[in-house]
Amino acid sequence: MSSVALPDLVKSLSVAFNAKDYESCEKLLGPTKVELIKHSLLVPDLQKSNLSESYINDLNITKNILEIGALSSIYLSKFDIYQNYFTQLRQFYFNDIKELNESNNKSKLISLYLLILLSQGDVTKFHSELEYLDKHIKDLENDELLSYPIKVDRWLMEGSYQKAWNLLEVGSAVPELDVFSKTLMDAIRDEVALSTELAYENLPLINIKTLLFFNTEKNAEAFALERGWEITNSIVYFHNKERLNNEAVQEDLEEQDENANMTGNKLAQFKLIKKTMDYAINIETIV
Amino acid sequence: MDVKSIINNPTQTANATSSSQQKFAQAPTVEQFVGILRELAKSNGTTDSRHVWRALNGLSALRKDGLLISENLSALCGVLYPDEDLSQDKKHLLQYINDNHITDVKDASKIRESYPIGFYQVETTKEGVPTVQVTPLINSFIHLLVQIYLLENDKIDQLNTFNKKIVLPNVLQRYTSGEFESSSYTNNSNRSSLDLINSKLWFYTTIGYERDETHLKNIPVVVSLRSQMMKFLKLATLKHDNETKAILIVSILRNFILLGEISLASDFVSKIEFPSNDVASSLEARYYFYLSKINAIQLNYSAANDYIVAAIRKAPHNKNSLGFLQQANKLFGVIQLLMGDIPELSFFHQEGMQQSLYPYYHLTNTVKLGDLNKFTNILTKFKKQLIKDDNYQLCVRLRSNVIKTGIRIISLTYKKISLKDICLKLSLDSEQTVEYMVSRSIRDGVIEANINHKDGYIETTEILNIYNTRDPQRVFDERIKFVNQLHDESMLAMRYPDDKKKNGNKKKGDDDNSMNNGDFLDDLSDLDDLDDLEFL
Repeated sequence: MSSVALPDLVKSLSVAFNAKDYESCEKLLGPTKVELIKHSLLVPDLQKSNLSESYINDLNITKNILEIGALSSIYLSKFDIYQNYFTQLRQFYFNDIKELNESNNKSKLISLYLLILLSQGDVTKFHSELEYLDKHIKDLENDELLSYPIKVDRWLMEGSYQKAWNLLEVGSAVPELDVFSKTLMDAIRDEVALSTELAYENLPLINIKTLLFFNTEKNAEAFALERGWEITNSIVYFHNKERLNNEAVQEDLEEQDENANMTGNKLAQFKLIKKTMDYAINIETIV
Repeated sequence: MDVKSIINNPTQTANATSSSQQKFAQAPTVEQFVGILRELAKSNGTTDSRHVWRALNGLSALRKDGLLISENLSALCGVLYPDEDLSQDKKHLLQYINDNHITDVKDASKIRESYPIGFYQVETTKEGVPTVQVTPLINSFIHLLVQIYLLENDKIDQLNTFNKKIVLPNVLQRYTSGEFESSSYTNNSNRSSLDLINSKLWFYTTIGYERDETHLKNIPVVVSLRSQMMKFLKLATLKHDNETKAILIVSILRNFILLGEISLASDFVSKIEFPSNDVASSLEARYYFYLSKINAIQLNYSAANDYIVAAIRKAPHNKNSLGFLQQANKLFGVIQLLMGDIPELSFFHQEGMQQSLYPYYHLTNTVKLGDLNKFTNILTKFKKQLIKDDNYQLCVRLRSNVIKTGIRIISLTYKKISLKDICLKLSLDSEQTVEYMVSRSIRDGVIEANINHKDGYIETTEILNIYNTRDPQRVFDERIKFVNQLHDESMLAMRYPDDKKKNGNKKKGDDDNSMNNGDFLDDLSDLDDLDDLEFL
């Protein structure tokens, strides 16, 4: 690299990253990226890289910088920034130059991206991405890191919440992936709560605790109150029937507003007569 | 000289060098080519695209008869085009047909003079000298012939360079850019005929790209083709060249899907408007197929279902389109399963589909039975094929459907059943998992039940008698409305028949016998193409 500034920046960047000082990494990354753009490295020109080895080398360094950027944004919980980095890294990961498209961090960063999509509940994007990966990476399901988000998604979809929960609780082989565990666990709890509401009429608090993966009954109680469940004698009542009835009544009421002065049965009769008249008129035109 | 023996034995013609011998070989076949060109030239000055369609049909007949060989083509070019120093096109074409080996035809200029005036036009060169050139329409058509010739003879590399170096700049670019706009030869009517040919040229350009396997792995190449297509899509849109526009949209979508760039593809779809009014229905079918695929991947099953139904309906149903229909039906089957429907048995017994739908038949069976183990087995057994069909990721999603049907069947059979029994029946790993799954199914409306946690069983709640509600009345009303609407629309349609359709019907009545000869224009348009595509 020709510029003096860039090697220095890269050096201090990797020092900061190794020291886990992600704040200063973030600060250093700005100027580094500007330098990279100056050397037209940030967006790889793959036609050019076919020609020179040193260009590939430079690109590999760029890739490392971007990876550092991506990982530090994870540690700082800045997921939007991570997505930007990942978009830039795509160029490096998905091409057919062997020296360039391989990286130790590749699977990790991809599955991080997938987890972000999952934790944001963006299933559409998640599956689009999966389709893309399926075409570009072999043995997707057998890669330890890549299969992690895939498994989580599958179990969530079919309702094996316990498996998903256990997987998240145990954690993965790399600490970065665990950043999302909490978000995802909360998501699971909400899902379970939603199903529970409808599936049971009442449930002892102690069962709620196990079902919703709480450690103490107190936590469970707080959660229950938050969702507006009624608790009497440590038994939770869900009252979903009443709620459904209320909704139905509400709908009827709205309809009545339109046809004033008519109630229940009378309204139905009126509607039926009106429809029959319509049919009669239509038959008239046909015959 | 025995004419017949030479025609029947093309290798002999290839070896033959003496010009007299060749002339005999060419006379009838070249005349066949010229006949097509005459048909093509008839469309000069009219807005009627019928002649072009007929020419294209004649082309598929030529292909079937195996007449598209280098001898015929080079003779045709030799006769048709003015002498080499005057025509760049001739030189380029011959280079790709047989390495500039010129087939001498006696009295070439004389034969040329006998061709109708519609074949040629006067062009002014840069130096201001007026020269006689072949019209854009004929020229494009000859390029199309060469493309097909190269494809049929598996000269994929040559085809690709031909496309890149000759077809793109010399034909597509030249006739669509401003240069020709002002000249009187490309008035509106000619452009609409040219549009059809251009669309074919694009089709074979993309085919050439895909046939070359190194291209598919080389992302920059694929992307560069895409940007090229985007450029021409803009041009075609501005000029209302609907057929070209349609083929470009379809090819771009295919390009996206091949690389798995689904989000890009769906963004692209939201930005474009497919000219569905006057394009070949087979193009429309392909468009709907890709839309369906995109929607299915994005978990938008009901939209995907609508599109795939439209695709199957729009596609021509005959021998050549079988590949497309097979592919479409595979996707259709998977989408139905994903929506929780079980396709009818007759679905798998459609003519010509049994073999290709075989894995899907087994998948459907396991989903129907709700047997998770069998499902996993089938999935691994047919994995290769499903990946080849590009449906594997979709099929993996069926897992949750299998479980749901399993639970549903159980809840229909038993009024009360313990969680443990369900666990055993579905071979799941723990009771707690079952509890979650059941509660999830209740939430999704798959079953109507309550869970009794204390005693560990589920109890099916009273199945609501649907005839106690107003639902039947509502559905009945909907159906009557639909029938009425259908009636009104048909009345309207009968009152104001479509001009185009009227022509088509009349012709069908006139010569029913010649239907298989290809007068059935609307449907025939793209059949060979679908065949060439081998559909993924």
